[in-house]
Amino acid sequence: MKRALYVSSPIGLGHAQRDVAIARELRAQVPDLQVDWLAQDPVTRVLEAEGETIHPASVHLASESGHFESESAEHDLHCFHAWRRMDEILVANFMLFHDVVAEDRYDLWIADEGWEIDYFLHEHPGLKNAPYVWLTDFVGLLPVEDADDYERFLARDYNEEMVEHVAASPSLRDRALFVGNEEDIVPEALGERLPMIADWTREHFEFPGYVSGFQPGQLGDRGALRAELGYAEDEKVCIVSVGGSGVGASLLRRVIAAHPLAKQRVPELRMIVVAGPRIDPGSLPQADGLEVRAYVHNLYRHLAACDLAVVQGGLTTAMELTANRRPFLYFPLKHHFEQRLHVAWRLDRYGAGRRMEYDDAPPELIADAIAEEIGREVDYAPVEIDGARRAAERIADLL
Amino acid sequence: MIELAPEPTRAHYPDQEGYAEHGDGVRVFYEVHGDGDATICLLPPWPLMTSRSWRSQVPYLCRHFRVITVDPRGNGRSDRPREPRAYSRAAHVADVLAVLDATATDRAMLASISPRAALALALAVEHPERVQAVAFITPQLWRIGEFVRPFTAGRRERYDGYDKFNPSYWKRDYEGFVWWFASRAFPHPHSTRQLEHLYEEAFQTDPETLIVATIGFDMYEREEALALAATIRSPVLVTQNGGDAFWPKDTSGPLAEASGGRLHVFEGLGPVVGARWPVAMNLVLREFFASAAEAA
Repeated sequence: MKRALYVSSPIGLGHAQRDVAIARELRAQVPDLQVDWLAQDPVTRVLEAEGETIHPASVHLASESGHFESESAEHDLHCFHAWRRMDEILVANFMLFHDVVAEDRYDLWIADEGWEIDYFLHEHPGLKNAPYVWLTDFVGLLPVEDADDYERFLARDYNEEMVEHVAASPSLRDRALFVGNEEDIVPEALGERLPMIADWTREHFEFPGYVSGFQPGQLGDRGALRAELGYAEDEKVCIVSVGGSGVGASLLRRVIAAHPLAKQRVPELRMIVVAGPRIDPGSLPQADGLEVRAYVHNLYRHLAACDLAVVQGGLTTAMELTANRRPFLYFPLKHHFEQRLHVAWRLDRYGAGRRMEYDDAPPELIADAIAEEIGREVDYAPVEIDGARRAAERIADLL
Repeated sequence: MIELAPEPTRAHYPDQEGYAEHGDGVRVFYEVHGDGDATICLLPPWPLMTSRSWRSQVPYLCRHFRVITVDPRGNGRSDRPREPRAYSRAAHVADVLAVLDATATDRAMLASISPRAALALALAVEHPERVQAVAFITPQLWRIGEFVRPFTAGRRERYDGYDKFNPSYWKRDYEGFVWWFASRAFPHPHSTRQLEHLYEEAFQTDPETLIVATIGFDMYEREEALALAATIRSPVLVTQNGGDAFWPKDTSGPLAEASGGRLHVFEGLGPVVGARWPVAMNLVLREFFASAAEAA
C-alpha cells in the first residue's frame, strides 16, 4: 500500500474542492493508495463531508483562516501583508508537518499552496525524505494599485527569494503544477530585474489546466438539477456567496440591503444568501422573502443551477460559475492582489463575470446589476473539465 | 515615536500568564504554554527585545514540553525600573526563581540568548536543584571590547559602525541605533519580518531604560565564568552560529569545553538562527531537551 500526505491551503474553501478531486483521481490511478490530510478548518468540513481521512495531528495546526479574518476590514483584505504577518503560524505549522513525516514515513507529499511546506523545505532541503508535489494557481506576489515603496520592495524581495530558492534546489519540487493554463498568467514581471512571471512559470511548472472540484457533465440536466434543489421554473434564483472565509460579511450585508430593490425590479427573484462555514447566519439581517443559510455542502451544484450569483473575487467560485456558464457579479476584496490581479486577469480571458467595486456599489447599483444580469445568456470561453485527471497523472508518476 | 503595527495572531496563546515579583517592587510578566511533563524556561533576553523573540520556538516546543517565557525587566509587559541596580544579574536570577515559584515549577530546563548566558550560568551554579539542563544560544559571559569601548566612549561628534553602541547615541537617535543593531543581527537577504519584529520589540521600551539595564547587568570575568561552568552537573548544549559574526564567537567553544557540554555549530546560518532559521534551531533544541528530560 502506498501512502500520500496532502496539505491543502485553509485560506478559503477553493483549494479543498479541487484537492479532493485530485485525490479521487489519484486513487483511481494508483490502486491501494491511501491519502491522509493534514488539514484545518474550513478545509476539514469539506474533507469530512467527502469521507476523507484527516490526520489526527491536524488538531494542532494553528489557524490560518482565523489569522486572515483578524487582518481584514470591511470588504478589505491586504492578503500580502496578512500572509507576511502569518510568519509565526507558518513556522508552527511547518514544524507540525515535520513531526508528522518524521514519525510516519509517507511515499508522497502534496502541498496545494501549503506555503510553509514549500518555503521551509527550500530553506532546509535536507529535511525532504519523500517525493514532493507543489500546486498553486498563481505565481508572483504583486503590489496592489495604491502600494507604497515598502510594499513594492517587499513584493519584489519575496519573489526574488522564490526565484533563488528554486534555482538553488531545482529538483526539490518533483512536480510543480500550475492550476490553469499558460494564458492565465498575468503579463507582469516578478519585479525589477526579475523575469516575467509567464517566462519563469513556463520554465518551472507544468500546466494540467484548470482543476475543478466537479465535472459539469456529472451535474446532469440543469432543469432536473433545479427541480432536485427545489428551484421552480418560474423563479429567478440568485445565490449570494463569499466562499469559505469569514471576510465577506460586509458584502453579504450590502447585497441583503439591495434585496428589496432588486425584488422590485425582478419580481420572480429568489435570493439565497450562503453565510459559509465561518460566518454566523444569525448575525446577518433577516428579511421577508430572503433566505439565509449556513454552510451549503456542494454549493457548486446550486451555483450550476442558479440564474445569477453574487460573489467575492476568489478563483474557485468564479471559475465554477464560468465552467457552468452562469452570469455573475464579483466584488474583489480591496487590497487583495490575488483577487484583483491574478483572478481578474483570468476571468477577463474567459470573458466571464461582471466586476464590481464594493466602494462604488450602493444597494441601488447592485439591484440594477442584478436585474441586468440575471438569467442572461453568456458567451464565456469554455473551461476544460479534465484538469484533476491530468494533474493526478503527473502526480501518480511519482508513486 | 514610530507607529507600531498591532500584534498579529499568535500561533499559540498562553495557557497561563501572570506577574511575579520578589520583594523589590518590580513585576515581571510570564507566560506558560503547554502541559508537558518537563518544563523549559526560555530566559528573558536583553531588553532591547521581549519574550516574544522566542515566537518561533514556543509553539513548537510547547507541543512537546511545558514552556515558560519571561519578559525582561525593562521591556514587554514587565516593569521598567530606572536605576541600574534594579538590573543586576542577581535581580534577574530572583525574577526567574519567582516565576518558577509562581508557576509551581520545581525544576526547569533553561535556554538563554547571547549575554543572558550569564543569567543561565548563575541559575545553574547557584540553584542547581532548580535547573535540569541549560542551552546557551550564541553565549556571551564576559564583557566584549567591541561593545564596551563604544559604550564607555562618551559623547562624540559622529557615530559610525560600532560607535553606535553608545548611550549618548541611543538618547540622540534611538531609531538609528535600533536600525543599526537590527541590520547587523539580520544581515541576510529576505529577513524583513525579522527586522520588523526586532523593531516592534525595541520600541516597546526607550533608550533611558535600555541604558540603565545595560549598565546594571553584571557579566562575569572570563576565568571566573569558565571555572563556574566546570561545576555545572546538568546537561549542557552550546550553540554557535556559523555565519558572519556580529558578536564575537570566543565564548561558545571554551564554555562547551569547561562545562562538558555539546557544541552545536549551525554551519552557514547566523547570526540569529532562532529567528531567521527557526526550523534549524527548533530541531536542535527539541533534541537536546528531550534527551535531557529523559536522562533526568
